[in-house]
Amino acid sequence: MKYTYFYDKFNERDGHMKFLETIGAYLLFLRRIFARPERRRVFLREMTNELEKLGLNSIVLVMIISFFIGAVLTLQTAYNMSNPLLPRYLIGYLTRETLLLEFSSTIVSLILAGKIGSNIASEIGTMRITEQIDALEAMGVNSVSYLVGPKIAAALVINPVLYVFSVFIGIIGGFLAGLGAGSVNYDDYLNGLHFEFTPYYVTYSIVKTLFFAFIFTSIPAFYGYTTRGGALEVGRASTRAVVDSSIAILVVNLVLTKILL
Amino acid sequence: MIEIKGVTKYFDAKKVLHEVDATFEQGKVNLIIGKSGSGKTVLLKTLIGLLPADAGTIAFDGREITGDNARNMKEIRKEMGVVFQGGALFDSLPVLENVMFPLDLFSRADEAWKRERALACLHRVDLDNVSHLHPAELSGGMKKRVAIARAIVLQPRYLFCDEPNSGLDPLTAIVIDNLLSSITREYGMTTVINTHDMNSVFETGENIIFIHDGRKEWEGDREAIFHAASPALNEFLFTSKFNRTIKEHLS
Ligand SMILES: Nc1ncnc2c1ncn2[C@@H]1O[C@H](COP(=O)(O)OP(=O)(O)OP(=O)(O)O)[C@@H](O)[C@H]1O
Ligand SMILES: [Mg+2]
Repeated sequence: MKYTYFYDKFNERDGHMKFLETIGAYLLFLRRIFARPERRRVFLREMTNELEKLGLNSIVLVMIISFFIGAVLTLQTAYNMSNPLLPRYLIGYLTRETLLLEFSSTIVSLILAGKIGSNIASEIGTMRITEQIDALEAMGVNSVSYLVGPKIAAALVINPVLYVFSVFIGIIGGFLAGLGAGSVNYDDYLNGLHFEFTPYYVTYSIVKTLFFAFIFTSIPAFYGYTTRGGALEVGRASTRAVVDSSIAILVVNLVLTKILL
Repeated sequence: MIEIKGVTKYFDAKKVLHEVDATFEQGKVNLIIGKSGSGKTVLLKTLIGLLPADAGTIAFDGREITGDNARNMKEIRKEMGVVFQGGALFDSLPVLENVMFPLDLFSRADEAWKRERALACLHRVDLDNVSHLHPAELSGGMKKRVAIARAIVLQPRYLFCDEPNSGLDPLTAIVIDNLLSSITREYGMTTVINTHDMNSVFETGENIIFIHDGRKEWEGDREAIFHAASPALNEFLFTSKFNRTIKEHLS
């Protein structure tokens, strides 16, 4: 099962065919993830490990980024609303809506596709080229469900949690920056946060984070698993994984937005 | 005993194995020799069911694994240990857990017993104080020995090793060779080893098959190998001056 990369290949005569082949191979790969895991105990142990790894590795990054983006969103909105006729609570409102709808779900997932995605692709790719995957298979382990299942499960749990964290930290960042710069006051910002709150937006975003979590774990896992060759190919697989999962996230974001909103 | 007949393997249009027949005997160290790229690893991976054969039959003590009998492989996996070319230890687990891994999969025994068993296997390969280290902290020879410990932890009937002493100094290589021979006799295993190390051939080769460009070119034991007629085998064995001198002295 060789993998191909549609950006390199699209100009070739059979580019479309290769692209479809890759999609087909990916779907077959997904089918193997959902095969029954060998032992529940082993699966749970691996999933706990992954939760720890994913959670601890990404929470600080997500918090830092969310804080600063929240701050910048608030300052920029305030700066663009110098017209005194516009109510000041719009600043808090717009910061909240941006975080809630797009930033904390889509943009944070894009960032995680970079961090977690490249990590997964190189980890599994290295296991492939050093025959660790062969060793698992030789012991009769379904290597796909053993290696990839726990990662996907952990990301499905973690990503919605990160979403909630990101929204809160972003709002706090915006608040502190706004206060510090003197562009909002406490009451205006708080009113803005409450203004026309639509709980469905949270549901919509959480659904998105689940799809994105699946994408930024399964696509890198696929590229890692199908690596052939040496260290160079592992690096290449990891780059492809990040680019393709980012594009997949953007496309799925568009589709889900059309369906859900 | 493992019997293979007419085993053939293609990668796309490229034929890598050409109708290979061989018998690997129980209680013996069976060697597959051949130069780099001749198809040894592919043959070994086909034997253990990691690569499907495109034609031919493979039978483990009468149990076929090819074609419609792939089901048998599930049972045989529990009776089989494999040492891969680079050791293939799991990077994320410390040595002890690497060795315990097959036990966690297949044994219902309690944790303490599994630990004991894993430590005993590490002791068997002369590694007593490394169980807490990670593979990255081991030397090449130690990794190979941990891999051997992991391969024998289930007391397998069949042991497969892909170049167990490549990249090792001659002394360590011989230690590994002798270790594999004595474990083979101890457990009465059918052991199949890939190698291109001439020392191993003379040290442990009880049943040798020589692969050349994906074809079985010759078979015999370490005595017969000195009188083999195959030009490819002679070139492979006696290109080095040292080996040529030994041959001349013997004849
Ligand atoms: N997955 C694969 N896809 C395509 N060709 C392959 C694959 N694996 C091996 N080959 C080809 O099969 C041939 C035999 O390779 P193999 O790895 O069995 O050699 P080897 O005898 O083990 O060599 P070495 O001693 O260097 O390990 C080589 O020409 C190799 O290019
Ligand atoms: Mg090889």
